[in-house]
Amino acid sequence: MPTPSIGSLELAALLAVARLGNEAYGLAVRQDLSERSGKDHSVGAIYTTLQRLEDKGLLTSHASEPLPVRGGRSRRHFTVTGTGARAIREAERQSASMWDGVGAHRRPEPA
Amino acid sequence: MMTPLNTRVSPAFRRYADINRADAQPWIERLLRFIGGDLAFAEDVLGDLMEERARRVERDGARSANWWYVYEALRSTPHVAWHTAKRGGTRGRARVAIVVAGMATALTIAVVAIGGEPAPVRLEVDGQRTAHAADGVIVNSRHPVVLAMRAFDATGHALNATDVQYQWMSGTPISVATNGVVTCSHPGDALVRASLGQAIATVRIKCRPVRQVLANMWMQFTAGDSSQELNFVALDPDGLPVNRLAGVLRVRDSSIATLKNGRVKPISPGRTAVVMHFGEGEATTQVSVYERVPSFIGLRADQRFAIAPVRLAPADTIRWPLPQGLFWLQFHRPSRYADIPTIAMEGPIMCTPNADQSVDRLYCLVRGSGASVRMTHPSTSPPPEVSCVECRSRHGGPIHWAQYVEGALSIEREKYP
Repeated sequence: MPTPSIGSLELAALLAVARLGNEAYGLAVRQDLSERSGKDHSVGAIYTTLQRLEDKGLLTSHASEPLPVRGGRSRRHFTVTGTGARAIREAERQSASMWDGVGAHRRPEPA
Repeated sequence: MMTPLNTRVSPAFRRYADINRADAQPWIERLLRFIGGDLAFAEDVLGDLMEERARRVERDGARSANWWYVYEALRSTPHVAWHTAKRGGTRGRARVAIVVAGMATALTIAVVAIGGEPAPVRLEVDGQRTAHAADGVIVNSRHPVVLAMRAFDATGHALNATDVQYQWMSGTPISVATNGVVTCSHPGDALVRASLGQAIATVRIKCRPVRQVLANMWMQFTAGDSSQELNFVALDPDGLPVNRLAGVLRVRDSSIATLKNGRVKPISPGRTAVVMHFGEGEATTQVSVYERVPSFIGLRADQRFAIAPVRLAPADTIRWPLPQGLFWLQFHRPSRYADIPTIAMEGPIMCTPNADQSVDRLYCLVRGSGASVRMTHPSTSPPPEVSCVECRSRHGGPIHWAQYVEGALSIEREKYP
């Protein structure tokens, strides 16, 4: 079964969920992405992305117990599905393929 | 899949949430919850916002955390709206439509309030700031003056008219700057075009330079008198009278006299002045208003401006006491040909000019008690140069020795002797 195509933010979120494991919920994913990419994504943008990944079957979610610090709301925890894991491997393979043949001496210097 | 909202929030946590929300900008939370409806998406976003806010309160303080909360909630609003529009069904889309319409209305109102001023359709000369007559703007100065216009929209509301542009069109060549500064070097009329957007008006500038204003030095009244016309004339650089005037014409103290339609009306005893200022010409007329008294006997200290009637038969003499201090003393004749009595001062008093010089206005200083003024009929003994066949006064008017000498004596006391 072919893996659905994903965009760069979707891939970054998918990787963050995979990295965070049991602690993967919206706020943690947002902080992880912010620390790694230096970009300040809005909370709404993160949840839209996670929702899209869930719609594509790459993630699944479940609600935690309500928490006082969230005003009595649950955290929505995300988990990478098998399809999601395949999508990560496919993305890694494609990335490696793209870098293949580009020697270290030909790579542009960081700005 | 998404868990329904109501099964995820317990009543105890609701209470905690209400307390927590009270200082967490509930209006923005209400907005997001209104848009999101009962979808879990909005609650997930709000939960993250609240959790992060709680961390920031400890780290940065409540004020900073609240600002962050509002900012992030507003950033997330489009995502919640988009999610609701996609998954919220008809009611969800209706809620989004309501919010979008409300925001569009608020934005329109804000744009109109800030800078979306309606287009001007009419320009008028600003009568408050420009000397405007029915047939044009009168300019009496040879120095630069500023034209001022008022702009109105189609509904008649006044608009900002600071950007009106001006341009000389025809007539007397005068200097007209685009910002409305006009310089009238010569007498004559000029047409000037004023424009603001699509609104255009033609203004007639009536250049009437005034170099000098001549006016009577004094006007004297008794309280209760009727008004008198103010006599003055404005002259142009060639010495010719100018009959179109716009400038300053006012009474300094309207509790003493008023000025209306070019006439001065006395109000109460005292001294004031009428100031006239047109172009480069300026003049002042002193106005005195006297209180009518039967004589100077018993004048009070507060009766600084008083006038008393004088009627002298041949050989009659009147002697009135004078108060201490500085004052003007003047005899008012009923006509320029009427004689004045012989006026003499007695006691500790000095006057200028001397009273024996037969003048009718004296400035006097009384330095002690016991000073008085003595008025005597001038014909106690006929002057030697007058024949008995045809008698004439020194002014050339007819004189009859048996007649009374009539008039009035006024006093104007200085406030600070």
